[in-house]
Amino acid sequence: MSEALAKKPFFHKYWTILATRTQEDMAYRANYVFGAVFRFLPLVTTIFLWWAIYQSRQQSGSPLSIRGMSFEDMIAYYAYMYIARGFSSIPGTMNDISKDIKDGLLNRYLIRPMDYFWYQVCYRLAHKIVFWNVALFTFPPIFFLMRQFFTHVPSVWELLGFVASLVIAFAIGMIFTFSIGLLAFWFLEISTFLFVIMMIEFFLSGHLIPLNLMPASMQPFLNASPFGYEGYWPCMILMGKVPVDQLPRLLGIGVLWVFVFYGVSRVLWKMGLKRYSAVGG
Amino acid sequence: MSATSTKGRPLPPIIDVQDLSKIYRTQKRLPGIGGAIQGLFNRQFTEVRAVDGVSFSIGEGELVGFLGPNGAGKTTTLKMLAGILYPTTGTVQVMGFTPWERKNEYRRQFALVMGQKNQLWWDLPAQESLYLNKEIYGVPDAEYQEVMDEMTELLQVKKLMGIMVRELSLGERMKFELIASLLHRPRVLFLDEPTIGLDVVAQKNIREFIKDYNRRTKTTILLTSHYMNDIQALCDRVVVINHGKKIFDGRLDDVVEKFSQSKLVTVSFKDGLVPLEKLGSLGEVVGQSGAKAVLRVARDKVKQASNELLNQFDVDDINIEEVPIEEVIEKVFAGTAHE
Repeated sequence: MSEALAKKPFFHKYWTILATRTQEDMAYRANYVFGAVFRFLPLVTTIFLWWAIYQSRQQSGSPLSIRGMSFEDMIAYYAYMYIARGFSSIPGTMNDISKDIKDGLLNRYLIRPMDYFWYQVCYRLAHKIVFWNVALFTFPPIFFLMRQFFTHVPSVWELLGFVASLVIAFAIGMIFTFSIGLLAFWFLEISTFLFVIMMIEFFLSGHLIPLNLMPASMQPFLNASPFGYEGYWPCMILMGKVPVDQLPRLLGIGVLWVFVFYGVSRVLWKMGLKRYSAVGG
Repeated sequence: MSATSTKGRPLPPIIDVQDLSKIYRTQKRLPGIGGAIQGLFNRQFTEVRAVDGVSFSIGEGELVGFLGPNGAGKTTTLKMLAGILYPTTGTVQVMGFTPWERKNEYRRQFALVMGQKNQLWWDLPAQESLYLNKEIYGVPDAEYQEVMDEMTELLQVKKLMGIMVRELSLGERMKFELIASLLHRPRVLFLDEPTIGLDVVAQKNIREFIKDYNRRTKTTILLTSHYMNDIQALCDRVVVINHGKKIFDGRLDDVVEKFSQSKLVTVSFKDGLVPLEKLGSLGEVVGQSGAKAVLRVARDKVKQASNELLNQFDVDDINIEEVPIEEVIEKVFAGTAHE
């Protein structure tokens, strides 16, 4: 944020929330270091799994690429997924929000002249800032070790598209988790439900397997789904699997989804607050 | 009762509550898993009248105590005044605002402090949370500095500013909580159990601070507390509610007169012996030690009883007192006192 913007009261307020939370989060940076290193452990299993799959295809004489993805592509996909999820996954948000609502902690935000949504955005953005501060040191050595898998050198446009897609990934992840957390206005116990939602999101974002490996009949649905922007699309852009001339359309639809989610979250917030204010808190 | 200053001069009300009611609708659930399943299909609701037709108004600068047992509707009323809850019926105007519209303009002018529900950030020194509040409320730098200097001095927490909140004692945290809520110099302050859980010394500190703050800044304060000590030390006027209804609104001293039907007569006897068997006809003996006895005598019989005591016995000293307010309030809450 530029100095000029920070001077305006609205931005200043949220800028301070962001800065303060970043400071608080810094107290836990050791945690972040462990998290940023050990999150790569499952990748080892993934590499062996796909290696075995591609190996057996070679032995049986099947074509070596699966839906246009070579073995190297496949591993690069999972590696890039760590970057994408580093933006789109906002851990703890759903639970924190539902707890604020259930335990009546929301009151302390409602009485102050600020907006709970933007407060949460700043709070989570701070988490991202601290995470990436650490990850900037832990990710490169791991990516260096894996350099043989990164066969595609992205163009400037692809890099720019990738960065834009990460912003969209954060926005969608943030607003989606915020909205789901708001369901606590209506349901007392939502932890099981949250788990189910997270699993679906995990799957539809392409975290588990690249979405283009799913059955052809599901492709139109998966391509239109907002969750692809949380992982699949950023990875594909960086791997050069999205033609540059299609980037504006792809990213444009992503931005559209951000607005749709934002609208839905606003409506949920208004309705929820009405209910909260009616029944207690 | 209309708001009046201690001198009896009417003040324009800053808080005006008319016929305020809040009915909670809660789902009735039969016990056990069968009840839970039944509840899924056939929901039954019970209505709880948390606040029931309460009206009062408070003038600018008043410090009013809000009294009532647990579940009387105190906190529910405060929450409606703070705009956290919508009422079922009735109107509230605070500084001309309807609280539950939650306008920023309104939120910049009041504060609600709830004991133990803190707004301080746990893993940072208190000064960071205070600065955050300064920004949220848009307090100018100079004003912020001034308020901070003054408050930290008064509450003696200047040296604690840089210590992690998690390492502070409950009393110290409460002090910072108060500072955080007063940074923007609210015109109206709602205090919900500000001394709850604190030790006697900390309670006294907070109490004195509140009294002094009200006197100096003329901030209107509405305070709830379980501790009669708080109320007695701070409030000239009290509003008493029970089962959601207002049962008293007036001077604290008048509570005793209204709800207590008796006085306490303490007599000491010259010969050092208490003629217990003969005292029973004058009133109820509630205490006895050495040559002293304490009698509870009906208000209208006090004069007659003292005469009889003086005439019939060799009395060294006689003392007539009101029943302690704590005891009166306790009885009011228990429902044993009558109007």
